[in-house]
Amino acid sequence: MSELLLSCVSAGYRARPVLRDFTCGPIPAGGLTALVGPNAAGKSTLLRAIAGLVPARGSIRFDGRELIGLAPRERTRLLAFMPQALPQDTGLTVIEALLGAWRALPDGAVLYDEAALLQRVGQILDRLGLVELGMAPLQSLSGGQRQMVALAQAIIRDPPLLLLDEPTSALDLRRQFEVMALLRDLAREGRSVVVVLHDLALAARWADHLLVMHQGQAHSDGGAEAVLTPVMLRQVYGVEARIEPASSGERLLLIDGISSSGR
Amino acid sequence: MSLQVSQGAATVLGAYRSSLRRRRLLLALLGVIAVAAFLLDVAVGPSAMSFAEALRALFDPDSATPLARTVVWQARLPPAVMAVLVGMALAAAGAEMQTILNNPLASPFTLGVSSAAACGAALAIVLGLAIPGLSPRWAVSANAFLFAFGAVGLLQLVIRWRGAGVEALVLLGIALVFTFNAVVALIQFVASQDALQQLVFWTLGSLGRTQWDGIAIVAVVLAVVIPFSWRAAWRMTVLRLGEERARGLGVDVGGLRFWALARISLLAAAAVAMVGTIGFIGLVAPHVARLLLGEDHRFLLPGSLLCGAAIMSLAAMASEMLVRGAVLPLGIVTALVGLPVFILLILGGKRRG
Repeated sequence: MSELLLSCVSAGYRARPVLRDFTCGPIPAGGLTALVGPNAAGKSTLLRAIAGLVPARGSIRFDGRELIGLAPRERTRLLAFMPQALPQDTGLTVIEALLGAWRALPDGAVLYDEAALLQRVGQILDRLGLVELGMAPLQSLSGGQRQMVALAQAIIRDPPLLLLDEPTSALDLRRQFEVMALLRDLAREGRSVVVVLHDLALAARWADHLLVMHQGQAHSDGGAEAVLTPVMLRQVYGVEARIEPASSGERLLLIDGISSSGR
Repeated sequence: MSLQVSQGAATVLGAYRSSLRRRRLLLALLGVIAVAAFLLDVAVGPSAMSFAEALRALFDPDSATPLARTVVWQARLPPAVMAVLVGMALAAAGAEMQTILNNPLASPFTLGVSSAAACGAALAIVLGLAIPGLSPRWAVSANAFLFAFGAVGLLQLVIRWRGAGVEALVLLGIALVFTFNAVVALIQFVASQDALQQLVFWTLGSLGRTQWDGIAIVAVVLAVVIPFSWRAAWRMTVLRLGEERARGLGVDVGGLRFWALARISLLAAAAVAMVGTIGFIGLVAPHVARLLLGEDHRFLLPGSLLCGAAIMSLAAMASEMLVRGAVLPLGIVTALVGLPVFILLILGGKRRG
C-alpha cells in the first residue's frame, strides 16, 4: 500500500519560513491520519506543501513518486486538497460546483461523459446527504452546508490521497460525526486521508494515526494512546491536562489550567 | 464502479438537466433578440426610408432603388456590424474580467485599458506621434491599440515578477488609470483647438468612422480569442468558488488569470481602437447574462456575447433616434442608459446580499 513519506521538508511564505527540515515517520495508507498542534504550528502549510500550493524543498513521496516538482496535471490525479476557507458567495449551484470540481481538471473534459459524471455527482450527493441542496446556489447555503459541498468537491474525483484542512470546523455535532465516519470509511477503503483537526477529542475518537506538530517540526506521532499524553499537552499546547478513561472506554481529555513552564 | 443513485438524487439530477434545457432555450431566444436588434439598427436611421424598404435593400439588393442600396450597404451596414462585434468583444471581456477580479462591478476598462487607449490616441491626434510606415488613416487606432494592449501587458509583467495577487493587480490598474489620465490632460493642455476637438470626439466613442477593414480586424480578434475563452470555461467557473479552492482542485490560477487578461486586453483594445471608449456594455451585458443564465461559464460566455451584441445594437439605434437629424456619440448613449442600470444593479445586489 502507498505511504506518504516526508523528509526534510522546508516550506513557507515570502518572508516567513514555516516548516524547517520537517521530517516524520511514514503516514500509512488505509488509515485516517489527524494532523494536530497549536495555532501556527505549520499544519496548514504542511498540507499546502504536499498539495503543491506553497513552494517546498526536501522530499515528499507518495505511492513511490516524488511530489515536489511534479507537474500539476500529474499531482491532481494523485490528490485533492480542501482548504480551510469556505466556498465564497456565488450563484453557482451545488451540482455545478461538483461538476466543476471534475471538469476543471486538465483532462477532466475527456475522462467522463456528461451522463456518467452526473451519476457520479448524484452518488456523492447521496453519500454526503446533500440531495436536497443539489440545485441550491452556494450563496444561499449556511457555513456548515458549504463545508459539506467543499468536502464533496474534494472526494468526487476519488484520488488516492485526500488532504483536508479542518473539514469539520463549521459542522454541528451530528455532521461532525457523520463526516469523520465517512473519512474513516474512505481511508479504510485504501486511501490516505490526512486531516487537520483542532479538536483533540475528535482526533482521538476517529484517527488511526496522530501526527503532532509544534513550531514547524514533528513533535510525535503514533496511535492516540501513545501520543495524547499530559507531557505532550504541556510541551506542545502549554496546558496542564489529564487523560481519564470514560465509562464507555473512550479517553477523556480534561484541561486543568495553563502550565507555568509552557511555551 | 456502480453508479446507482437514490430516488431523491435522481430527481435533483433531473432538475439540473431541465435547467440545462431551459438555459439552452434562453440562449436561442437571446440569439433571436440579438438578430432582431441588429436588423432594427440597420433598418432605422436618420434618412427618410421606410422600414420595409431598408430591409428589402438588405436582403434583396437587386430589387431596391440604387439610393436605398447605397444608404443601407454603405452608410448603415458597416456601423451596425461594428456595433455587434464591439458589443460582443466588450461583453466577453467584461464577463471574464468580473470572474478573474472576483468582482461583479469590474469591466474591461477597470485596469486602465480605455485610459491607455486615449493616451495613445492623444499622442497621434495632438502630437502626431505614430508608428512609422503606417497609413495615416490607421495612426490613431494603432496607437490606441498598442497602448491599451501594452498597458495590461505591463501590469501582467509586474504581477508575474512580484508574484502578486488580485488586490495588487487592481491597485496597479487604478494607478495606471490616473497616470494615463494625467498624461492625456497634459497633452490636451498643449493641444491646438482643432486637435482638442478631434481628441474629445474620439474619446466619446462613435461608430461613425467604421470601415470594413476595421470590422475585419475586430472580427478576427473575436474569432481567435473566443475559442480560448471557451476552453477555459470550466476553470473560470471553478474560480468563482474562490482562488484557494480552485488551486486546491488543481487549477493553475496564476496561468488562468494571465491568459484571461491577455484575452481581455486583446478584445478591449481592439474594440476601443476602432470605436473609442464605449462604457458600460462590458459591465452591464455580463450582468444581464448572469441574471438570466447563472454563473456557469458555458452559458455565461455565449450569453454575454449575445447580450452585448443586442444591447449595443439597440444603443446604436437609440443614438440615431434620440436627437432628430443628429447621431449622438455612442459612448454618451451607453453611459446615459448604462448608469441607471448600473446603480440598480448595485442596489439590487445590496438587497440580495
